[in-house]
Amino acid sequence: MEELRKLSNSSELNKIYRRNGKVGVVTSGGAFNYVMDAVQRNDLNVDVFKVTLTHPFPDELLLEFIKDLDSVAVVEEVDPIMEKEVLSILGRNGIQMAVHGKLDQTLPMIYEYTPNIVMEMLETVLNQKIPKNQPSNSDLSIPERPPTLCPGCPHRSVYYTVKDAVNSMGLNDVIYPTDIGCYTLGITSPYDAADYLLSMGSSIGTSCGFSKATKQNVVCFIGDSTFFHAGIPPLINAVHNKDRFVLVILDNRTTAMTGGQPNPGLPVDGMGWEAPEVSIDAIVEATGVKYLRKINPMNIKKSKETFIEALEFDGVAVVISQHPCMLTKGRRSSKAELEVKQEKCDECAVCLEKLACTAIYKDDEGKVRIDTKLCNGCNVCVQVCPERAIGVKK
Amino acid sequence: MKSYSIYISGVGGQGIIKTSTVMGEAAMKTGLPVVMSEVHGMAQRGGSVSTELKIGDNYSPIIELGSADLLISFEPVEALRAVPKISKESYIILNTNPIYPFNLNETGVSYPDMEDVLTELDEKTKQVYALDADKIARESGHSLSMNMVMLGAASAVEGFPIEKGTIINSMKANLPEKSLEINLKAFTAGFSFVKSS
Repeated sequence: MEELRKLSNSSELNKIYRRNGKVGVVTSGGAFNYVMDAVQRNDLNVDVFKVTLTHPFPDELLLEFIKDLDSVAVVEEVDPIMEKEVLSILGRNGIQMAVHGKLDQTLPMIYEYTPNIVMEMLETVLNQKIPKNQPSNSDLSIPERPPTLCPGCPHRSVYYTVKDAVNSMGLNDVIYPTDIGCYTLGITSPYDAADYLLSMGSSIGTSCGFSKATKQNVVCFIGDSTFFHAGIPPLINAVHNKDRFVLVILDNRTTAMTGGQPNPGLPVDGMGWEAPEVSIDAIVEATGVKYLRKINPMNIKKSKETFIEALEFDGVAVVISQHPCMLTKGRRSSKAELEVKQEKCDECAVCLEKLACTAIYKDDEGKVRIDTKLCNGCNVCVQVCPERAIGVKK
Repeated sequence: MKSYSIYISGVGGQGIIKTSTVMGEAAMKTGLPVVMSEVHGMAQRGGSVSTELKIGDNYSPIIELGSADLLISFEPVEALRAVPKISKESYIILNTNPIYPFNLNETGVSYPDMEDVLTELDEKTKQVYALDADKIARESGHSLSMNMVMLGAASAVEGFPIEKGTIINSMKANLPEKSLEINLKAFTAGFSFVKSS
């Protein structure tokens, strides 16, 4: 560590920008950019210390930096790590100096920083106005636009089917822990299938706790890549501690939300080279899980039967839902275009309100229609329609 | 040069990030320093998407409130969402074709009337160029070339710092060859719309 401390103090990555100021700013990352833009554009007398190698903290450089300063501000995203380093170095060296940052609430603990947050901070510590443009504001209220599952997404079918199974069993106490991926979008209505999420792998870990601490049913969701990353240790705990819940592993054969990177379940690695494919079901089986089923989520009837069985199972029940992500190239299920046969449709709106596929909409006359530009031809709506009113366009 | 800030907003899937890439690379070809930031991940999932570009001597790509010189909005409500970034000095290129949020019925907020959107934006800025870019794209050969209609329109705005020809070269380098002709036609149609307004 001593060697690294020396390196940190001599590295060109940790750089001091002098502007003959009495106030100094210690900063790193994106926040450095906001500080430099504000300082240069407004010709502020502020010295800046850019810390790139933050650990071990360059203590000697800091002491050099503050030599002629009256006060210092620390501008860093998230937790006040550097700010505490600065305070401890000043303390150790018996130096009395004001340190502004998150701890004295000069900067907010919440929010990602913006140029405006940083400019306002500089105004406070310099006690000087910085000219800013007057932003416009609008009084018109506008609807939010959250992201949603794609048309033809296998996660949508899983959520629809799990909810259908739960309702048909008359269960109204189910807790749905979830994990990090596209399927976190299950939090939206009508699925409402994301009650609890802490971090990667927490879907399974917290399910163990919920199943011990409550008598409620628990159904949790985790994607294939998150399962490989952080789902295996809690699954081992669940089996060993005789917990009771349903674990749905959503295997869409990619890391979809972040742009389709491969994961260990694929025969190809991050560089595109051939790589050994790791089997999710072999891992699950090896933990000693007594109920393991694989489903094709696009088969609504069979999936529902499986979920009912899994919910009745007294122990850890694992259902692996296998269907590739619809964004994978060439995944369109069929070339056939689907349409709602108006003479059969009784406007029950199961497709619109329960399945809630974004390719299905109501037109100006209140008729249910399918947007063929968006539709992926997955055929799930064909199966859920009680009137059998959705079919191939002839 | 004076720094030039461009804010692009719209809905995932409209080709916003591609448009920014074409613009950013064109700026680099011109020898102008450029920084860019984007929202992604949401792109193909129908959420709000925005990118910020600053051309000139800057460290951060994030545009200060009220400081965008140009707002290119691919969707009317997304232009209103971007209002804090603009000022009385800004220009707006607005695609008037609305995309209704999938959860509109649950939000309790209705989609505003187009007339109100235009009046609101007109009051807030120097000039709004409103066009049905989807329609112009279809007339140019394909609805997916809508983003290039918007790019063409932006390139014709007073003060826009990149030459038309440099943008076209960047399109050639960044777009698939088979759709290039349609995209160029779309770009030209957007450019002429603003020039003749």
